[in-house]
Amino acid sequence: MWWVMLGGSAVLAGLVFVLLALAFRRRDRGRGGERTASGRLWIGGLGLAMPVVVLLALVGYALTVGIGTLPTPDPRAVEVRVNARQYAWDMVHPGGIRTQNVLHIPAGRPADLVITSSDVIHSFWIPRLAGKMDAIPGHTNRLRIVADTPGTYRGECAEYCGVGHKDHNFTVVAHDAAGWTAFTEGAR
Amino acid sequence: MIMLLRLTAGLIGWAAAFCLIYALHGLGCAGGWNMVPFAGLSVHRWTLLAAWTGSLLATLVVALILNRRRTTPLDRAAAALGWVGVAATLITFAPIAIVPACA
Amino acid sequence: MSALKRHQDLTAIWGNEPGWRGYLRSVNHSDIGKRFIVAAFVFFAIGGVLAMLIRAQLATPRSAFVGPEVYNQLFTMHGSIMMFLFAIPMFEGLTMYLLPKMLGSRDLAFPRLSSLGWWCYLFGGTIIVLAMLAGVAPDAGWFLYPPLSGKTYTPGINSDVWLLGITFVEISAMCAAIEITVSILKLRAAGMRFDRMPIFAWYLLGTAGMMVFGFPPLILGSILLEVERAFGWPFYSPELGGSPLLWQHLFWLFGHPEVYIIFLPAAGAVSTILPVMARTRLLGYGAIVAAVMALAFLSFGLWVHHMFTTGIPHMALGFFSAASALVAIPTAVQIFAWLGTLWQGRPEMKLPMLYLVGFFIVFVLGGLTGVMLAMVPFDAQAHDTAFVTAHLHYVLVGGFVFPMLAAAYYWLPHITGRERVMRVGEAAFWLIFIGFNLTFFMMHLTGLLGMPRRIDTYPEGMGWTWLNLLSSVGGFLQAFGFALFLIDVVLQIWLGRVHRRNPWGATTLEWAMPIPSTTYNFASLPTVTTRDPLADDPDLGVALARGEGLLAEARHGWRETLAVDMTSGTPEHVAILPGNSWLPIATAAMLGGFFLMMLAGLYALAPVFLVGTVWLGWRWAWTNGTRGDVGMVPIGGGQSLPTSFEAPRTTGWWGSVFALAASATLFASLLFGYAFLWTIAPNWPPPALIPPSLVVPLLAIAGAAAAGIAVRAGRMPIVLGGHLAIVAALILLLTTTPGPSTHAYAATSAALAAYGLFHAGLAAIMTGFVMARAKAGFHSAARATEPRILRLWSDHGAGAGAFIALLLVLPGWFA
Repeated sequence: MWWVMLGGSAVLAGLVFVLLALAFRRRDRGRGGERTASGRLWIGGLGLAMPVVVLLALVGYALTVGIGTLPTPDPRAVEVRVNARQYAWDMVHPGGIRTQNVLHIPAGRPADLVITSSDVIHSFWIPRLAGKMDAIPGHTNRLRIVADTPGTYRGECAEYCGVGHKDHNFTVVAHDAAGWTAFTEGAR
Repeated sequence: MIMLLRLTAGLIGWAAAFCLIYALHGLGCAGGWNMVPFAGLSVHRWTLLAAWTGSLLATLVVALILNRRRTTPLDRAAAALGWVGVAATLITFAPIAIVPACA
Repeated sequence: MSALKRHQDLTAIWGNEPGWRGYLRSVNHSDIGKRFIVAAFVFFAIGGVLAMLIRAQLATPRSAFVGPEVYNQLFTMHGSIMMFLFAIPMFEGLTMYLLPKMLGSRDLAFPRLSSLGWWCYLFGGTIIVLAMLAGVAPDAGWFLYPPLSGKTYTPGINSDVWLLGITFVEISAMCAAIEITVSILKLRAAGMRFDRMPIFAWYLLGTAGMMVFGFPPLILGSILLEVERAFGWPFYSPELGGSPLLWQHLFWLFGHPEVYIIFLPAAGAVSTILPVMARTRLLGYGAIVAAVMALAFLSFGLWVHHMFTTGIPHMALGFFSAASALVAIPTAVQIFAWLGTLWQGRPEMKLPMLYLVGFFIVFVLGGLTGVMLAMVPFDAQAHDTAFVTAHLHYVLVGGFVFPMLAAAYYWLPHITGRERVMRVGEAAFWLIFIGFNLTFFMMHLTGLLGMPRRIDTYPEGMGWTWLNLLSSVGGFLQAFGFALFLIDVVLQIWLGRVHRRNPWGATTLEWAMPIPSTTYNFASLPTVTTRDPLADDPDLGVALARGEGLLAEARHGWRETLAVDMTSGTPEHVAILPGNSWLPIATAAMLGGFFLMMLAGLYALAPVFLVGTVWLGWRWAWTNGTRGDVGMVPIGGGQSLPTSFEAPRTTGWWGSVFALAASATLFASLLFGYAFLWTIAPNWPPPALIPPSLVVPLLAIAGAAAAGIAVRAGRMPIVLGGHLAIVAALILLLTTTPGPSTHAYAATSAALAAYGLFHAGLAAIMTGFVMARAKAGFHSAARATEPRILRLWSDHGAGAGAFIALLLVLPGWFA
């Protein structure tokens, strides 16, 4: 996705800049008399048709990718409730295991996070695993994340939430199957 | 005044469609219409599809009316904007056909 | 009459009194426009200093230059100042200065309104900057999201400063929007049909139209938040049925169009300057008009793209994502029209052109990152990182500051009448251009490396250190560049040689006058037959100065200009504009008193200033008109026209239409809020509803019907009675409404009732005014403008009042 957009952007920017430079180069060739440019070519073709094609393709692609990340019902998913506040993250895992600023999830299985806030607006973000989801007081949002490999990941608050915003961070621990069992067993 | 109306008619059509469909979508999700099945799809999606089709027809009629006079540059601009209204209605609400409604 | 005598006569009518008195009372569009430009540049410098402090803080990891409390004020104020006190006033100033000159008119439609806007802007901006110096500046981000900006989490007056100060400044934006719209539609040169208007006027028409519909949601949102903070009405508090998301909707419903409100005037400057620099005509006039209209509309359909991560259903995101992509197309049409124009002509690398090239490069890059951000999955990653900061600076600086710098160099000779000295402008360009790209290109990278916005320090070892340092160096380069620009302007004013007319060989009317311009612009008004009047007749300016155009005679001390039929440009009547006055500054000071009382928490005293404002408004309107019929007056060329005293559709009537359109938008936003909270917010249904009542709706509907019929029959006492009945019905309704601080339902209901009360009460006052004026002899069969204007306000007040009375009792009926 990213590389497609970057490449496409580079090509388009290059096109505009080359046309701009050539406009100045042409001046030097010193042809006399009035010249007219074709409105059909410049405006209809380059201005209208080209971006329509490019953008429609891009929107269609992005929507399809977006649908894939939606939390569709999945029997394998685990659900963790996340509550944000100034300036901590409280998690409630399956089996009622509570932690603060550390989120435990099984690797290779979808985890659905049910996110809300008890004071101001925060935003839950694990840069390496998924996009953001805002934590809004009075509303709950669902975010699905999947960690393919076990390990620790850094998470942070991505919506400005006050004086302690920059240190409003948390860690994510993705367990392998055995580790996850041990974690959930630990509850009893 | 008439000229200004001609210039904006197509886009006003799109804006009206936007208000209608966005409101229906929000009300439907809040009222649980998406859970009520009807003829293979949900009531919610049928409602949205109907609103979309209706808006398309309305903007199309506007565009055809505007298209009948193309003498001055502004007439042509108005006609073009009529088609912009149709195209914008078609594209903006295309997610109705392909995207889950309330997730 | 000699040209010199005519100049003296017209100057006596249009000029200012000497000294401070003249300064404070001036309503002249050139004066006001220049003041806006200078003040906006001062605020730009203040905002720039804040930016330098931010970059100084972020230059190294773990910086201890300022703490988070100060840093939060810094970035909040940087954004707010640049948006509200620099960008919008800057284009307003440029427009006020240029527009009448380009349209072949002597002033804008409502000169006193321009002056009122100026004083509101100056006072509001001063309040905000003084608050910053006192250390109580807003600190909740420039978009002030509640609950963070609410009373619980920001107990000081920081947020109040923003809400009240910015709303005060918005008054000036609304004044400008109405003024610009009506001036473009009505006050043009004879023969200037719609399709002969300079392209700049089309851009401004689009911009002003967007402001009429775009600002009311923000004004409403600010009022609601201020009322929540001051009186505890829980519009945004979820525990009492409010929702913080309502603020986000209202804010971005304004905030996204705002981007185009800033971009369109700058693009208009590009479309004006570029063909002159390329010594050709603009390619695709009709296509550009269509693109401007499309942008003006489509940009209202994408506000939610600032809220992609708030958990809104994916289908709705799809609508906004598609609209966000669509809006790029009219922009692309313009870019390629400009490129085609360059290909068609023989471009010269004069200084304005250099800045336009800078605009092309920066803006195209910003547009492309914008398309990336419009894609939901990518946005979810990049949202609220430095990538977004980089994108928005590329768009805003590329799309506004670079064209404005080009415009500054293009139109400066018009303002100063002088040539520039040396080549300081080129040096400034390279400093700004290189500095800008160094700063913000690096921020794309830091953003992609995961650096969030709005953090005051960051640890080492994240890979951000070097990039941040480079950004800071670039920032300081830019600052030097802008300082050099300022020096260049000052040098030109002091040392520049006097310039001949029309130095660039332009074809638009603003160059058909001596430079620097006179107070009255044109000694006589031009008649145009094409889009490029100066190309047809390069000596038009001299002919006009000799009095060969229309309205060449100075008479009765009237400030005369021509009002035309909006489509065909046929002369319709002679608009007689008001002269210098204390009223604008007095009204602005009265409003300032109201805002200061609110800020100080002296809520009991605030209404006193509102009453004072109404009184001044009454005086304001009373100074219009005459007590005797004037009849037709000659305008030259053997033609005669009625004056604005006796014309059926005056600028005042059109101004009322757009003012009511803005108010109706505010009302629609409030209705949206009511419906939104009802369906989306938590903790509904409310504990108590307004009890069902028959008396309230029946009284209001009867009053509305009486007012509506009587206003058409000219029976003013009945109109007055009708509006008083609506007022009574709504007060009765308010007495049965549950306490507004108990639940968002009661709060929004009370806000709706207050809207109805305001408009019915206003209509009642206006009816009283019209009755008093008729008694004093200001009205006759010919002089019937004021009753016509009253009809608009009366109908709106009656319709809104009856609708609200009915709407608010309905839930009680169905429960």
